Amino acid sequence: MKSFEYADEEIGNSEIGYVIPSVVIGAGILSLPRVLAEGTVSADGWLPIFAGGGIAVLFTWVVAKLASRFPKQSFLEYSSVLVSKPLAFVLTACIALYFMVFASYEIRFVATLSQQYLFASTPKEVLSFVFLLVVTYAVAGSRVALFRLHQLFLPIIIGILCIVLLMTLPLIEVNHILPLFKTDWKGYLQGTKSTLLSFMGWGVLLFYTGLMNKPKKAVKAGMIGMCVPIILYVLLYLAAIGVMSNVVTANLTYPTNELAKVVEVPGGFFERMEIIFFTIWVMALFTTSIVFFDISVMAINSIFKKVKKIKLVLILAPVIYLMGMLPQNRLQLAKVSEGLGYAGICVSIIIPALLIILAKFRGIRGDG
Amino acid sequence: MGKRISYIILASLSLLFLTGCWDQVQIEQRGFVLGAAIDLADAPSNGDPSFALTYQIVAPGGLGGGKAQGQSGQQKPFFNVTARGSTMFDITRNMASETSRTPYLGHNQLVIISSEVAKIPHAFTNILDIFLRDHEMRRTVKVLIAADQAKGVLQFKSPTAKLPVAHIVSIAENARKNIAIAPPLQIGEVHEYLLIGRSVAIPLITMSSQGKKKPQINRMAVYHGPSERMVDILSNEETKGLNLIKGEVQGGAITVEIKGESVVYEIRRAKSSIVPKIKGKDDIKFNVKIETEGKIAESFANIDYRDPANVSKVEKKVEKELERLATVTLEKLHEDLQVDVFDFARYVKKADYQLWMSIKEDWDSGKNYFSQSTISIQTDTVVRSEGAVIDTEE
Repeated sequence: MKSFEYADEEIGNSEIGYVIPSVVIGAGILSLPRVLAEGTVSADGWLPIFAGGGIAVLFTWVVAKLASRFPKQSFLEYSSVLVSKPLAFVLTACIALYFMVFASYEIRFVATLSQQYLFASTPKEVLSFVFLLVVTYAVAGSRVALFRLHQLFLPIIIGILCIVLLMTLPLIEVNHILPLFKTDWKGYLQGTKSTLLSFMGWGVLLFYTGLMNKPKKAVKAGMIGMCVPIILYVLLYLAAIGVMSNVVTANLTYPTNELAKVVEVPGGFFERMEIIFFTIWVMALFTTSIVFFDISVMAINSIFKKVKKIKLVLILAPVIYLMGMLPQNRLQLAKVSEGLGYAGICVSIIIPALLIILAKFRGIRGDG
Repeated sequence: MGKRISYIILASLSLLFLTGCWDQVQIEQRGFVLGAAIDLADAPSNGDPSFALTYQIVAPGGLGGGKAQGQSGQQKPFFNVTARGSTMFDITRNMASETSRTPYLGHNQLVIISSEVAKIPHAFTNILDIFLRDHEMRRTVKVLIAADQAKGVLQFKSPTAKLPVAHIVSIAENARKNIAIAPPLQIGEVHEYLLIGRSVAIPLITMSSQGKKKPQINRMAVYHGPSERMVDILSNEETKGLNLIKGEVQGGAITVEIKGESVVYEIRRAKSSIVPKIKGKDDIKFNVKIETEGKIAESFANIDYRDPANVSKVEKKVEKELERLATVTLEKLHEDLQVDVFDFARYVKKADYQLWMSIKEDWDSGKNYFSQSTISIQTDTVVRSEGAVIDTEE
């Protein structure tokens, strides 16, 4: 007989499959079409999305392979086996800091954006605070419950996005998409880089794989999960270019939002598609934030084993809040996002790659 | 006990954060702007031009059934507010000092700019900036140019619609009935043309002078992208030709003479295909083929349409007429004004991207490669049906 599946604080492979797209679909989805359109001609940007996505899938594989070599071990545990204890402590602390900054960025971003589109006169401090309260509440509870939340939210987010995409179909002009392949290699390279940066998020597997009851399956689940945002981003990008043309997309701050505003249900009885759209991007930012917050708690908890989780959550929350309030305007926020991108290359690409090479080279396996 | 008190405190604290009281706007304080009209302010200032912006704001009391309140029958369903200033945002803020309802632009449907303003270089672009930049605005707002005063358009009394803007919007959407009405131009599309610095034809709204004043949309204004200003107005025939060449005709009528009497051909479907032949900068050719399908809607001439020879006679005549309209338009735009509002540029870009990148600065300005290109017109007409009767008189 099957016992209650989630009572043991372990997760299956489908949970990992859900958590990856849930993390990846975040702030980047709103501006990515613009970033791509800036560097490429007409609709050539789909190529860099696939290229960047390909690299993302590759490193998802690397991270998952690495973590699944050491089943039911925390990142600190297996990295200390690989690179000595002191260094492992430093690594874990750095990664914890990275995820904390990332969480604070998301929390600030949600405030900036909803202030711009929804609540013009509500102070951003309050918006961030309210959002952080909800995030903290989620993180303070059971970790496995968070995975259930992803399973609940992701279909809604993807479903609404698909509806928006479907309704843009009649508005797409073929003229906007042609001519094909006129971008120079520099444009492709730049596009690939920006796509890769906005796909950062598979690093969470370094920590979450340890929770799995069948860690071997993390590899496949993670890679499938990574493919979901890639396909979604390509479709969204093509829709933005097809409806609004390359040059307009390149000149809109958040093209995805504008796309939702252009869409109208035929017959005119429902015009304001963006209302639903706002709801789902707050949900998307929420699912991203809770993962980043949770991972930082997890990482720090592995260093200070004796501290209770709830205490850590309550200590980290104000720190994240204050960090989120530091940037003074949108330009500085964009700088933070850029910095996070490069830090992400370290955390999600370089560190796992080095660790797995070490593990292979020295033939270390956690499962004997 | 202590627990219960802390719960109560928590619940009341959450009231503070969950009600969102910072941004609440009562619906009766919100002035829903339906249309905007921009004129040149009569006070000529030194340097930058100053504008007069008129908003048409709904007064919901006048819209209702009329029996809700005793006096509401006399209340107009809308009111126009005008304010002056040198930037749109400035003007909107000035307006706040005049109206009881703060303008809310989320439901704006129409922007009308007077041709006087559009003729000033850069003014058109500068005005549209706020309508694109502000997050309340939608990219589906329709753009029109007024031949005379833009404010006047918002003031006429519509016999059918309660709001002048609703009346104008429904005219603009009548593209299925008239060749001269192109599908409405949205501000999002205009944004695209402004960004790439290309020319565009913008529907023109005029107030008919005879009898009761009422708005008409049957011509187009030519906006020249490189010099950022409106340069001319097309006649009704030229507008028809333009729509035919661009393939934007959705329906309409063509009248031809057969045996000295009128026969009306109704276009049910029309399309145009433009094929560029590019051999070099100075040797660009466009073959435009206009194809229409339709039926005989009205015939003064006494002809038996069961005879294929007669039908093809009509087809030939219609083809001639379509060709004439297209030629008239080309004479004006290609030879006279030398402005490419047909979007031929797009076909060059699609066909030869390298060449396009080298000539795009000189397309319809400077060296004007557009005027050096050759454009040939072909027409093809099919009569699908001749109507319900064979003849109405012996």
